[in-house]
Amino acid sequence: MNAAQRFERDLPDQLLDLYLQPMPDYRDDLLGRIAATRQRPTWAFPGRWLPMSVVTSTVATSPPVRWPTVVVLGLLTLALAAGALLVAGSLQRRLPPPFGPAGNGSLVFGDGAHIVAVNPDGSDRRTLTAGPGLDLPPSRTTASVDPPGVVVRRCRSSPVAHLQPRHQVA
Amino acid sequence: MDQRDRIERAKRGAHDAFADLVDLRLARLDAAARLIIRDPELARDAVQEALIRAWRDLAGLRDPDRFDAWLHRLTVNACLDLVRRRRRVVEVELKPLDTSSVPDQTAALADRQVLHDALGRLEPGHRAVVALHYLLGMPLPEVAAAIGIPLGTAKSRLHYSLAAMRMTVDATDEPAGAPLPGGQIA
Repeated sequence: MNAAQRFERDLPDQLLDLYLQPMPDYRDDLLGRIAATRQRPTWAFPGRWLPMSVVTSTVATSPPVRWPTVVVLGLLTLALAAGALLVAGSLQRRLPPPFGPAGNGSLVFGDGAHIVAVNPDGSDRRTLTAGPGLDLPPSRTTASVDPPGVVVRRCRSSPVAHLQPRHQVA
Repeated sequence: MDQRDRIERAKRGAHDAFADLVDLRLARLDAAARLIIRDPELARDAVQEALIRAWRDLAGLRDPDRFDAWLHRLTVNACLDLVRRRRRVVEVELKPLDTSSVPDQTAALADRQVLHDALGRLEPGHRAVVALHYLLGMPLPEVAAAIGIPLGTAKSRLHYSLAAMRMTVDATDEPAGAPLPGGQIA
């Protein structure tokens, strides 16, 4: 047992030695005043009107609001939300460039006599309908969208060129 | 006649039954009040106020087994009310100038005085916790309920009070000018 425990153990006796008196001298005076005081009747206590089961039952009451705790919790929630946004932002996947049917294909146009296909950046110019005469629609040759590519037909016959995505010319 | 019978009779207006209840408790209530207030006259006023109120409102006490806890609560609240009302008055306690020459027979009295002084350095609310717990023997949850504070606050007050009192007592016990190992006087 250490000094603190000894101190606490001895404290009740020391307090009694220090403050307890055999009988205070105002005992008779006090009882005289009590004798002159009327008791309140039972009905004067509203609590006595209620059944004991109601009075002794535990009432679920909300605990008092502790504002410092609320503030700390609010700040913590904001910090967590900001952190989650940062993490979500850093993990966002960049979309790959369009490919397949979504990819940019050749640009097909008439150059005055023939139908020509070029890449979107203007490179790789290819004449799809080489030969004599005009191949511009609606005369003899048509270029129509036929997913996944563009089909160039001459006189509604068999296709002469089929441009696939990614500038492939069939 | 046991306590429950006395209480039931007192509730029906029997002065002799209430006098018996008072006789069994008055000395301890007075001691607790003097510990909290540190003024015998004010302590007397507080105890009388609490007991008269107990007599007047006894019919409102449903459970006779709660009589002591209820009475302690009335007493400590009367004490704290009186202290609050007199807070503006600054009290100066007179002490003997020199206690070094007291004979051994009165050493115990000097120790009591040290403890009394240590209690005097505490706030009334802290002294109320000490009085209810150590002098009137109430468990801490009942102490907290009696004063109307959370249990954690009651525990904190008790811990602080014990530490402060022990520090004061220990500081007083250390002899002034004790020789150091090197033979010098501090």
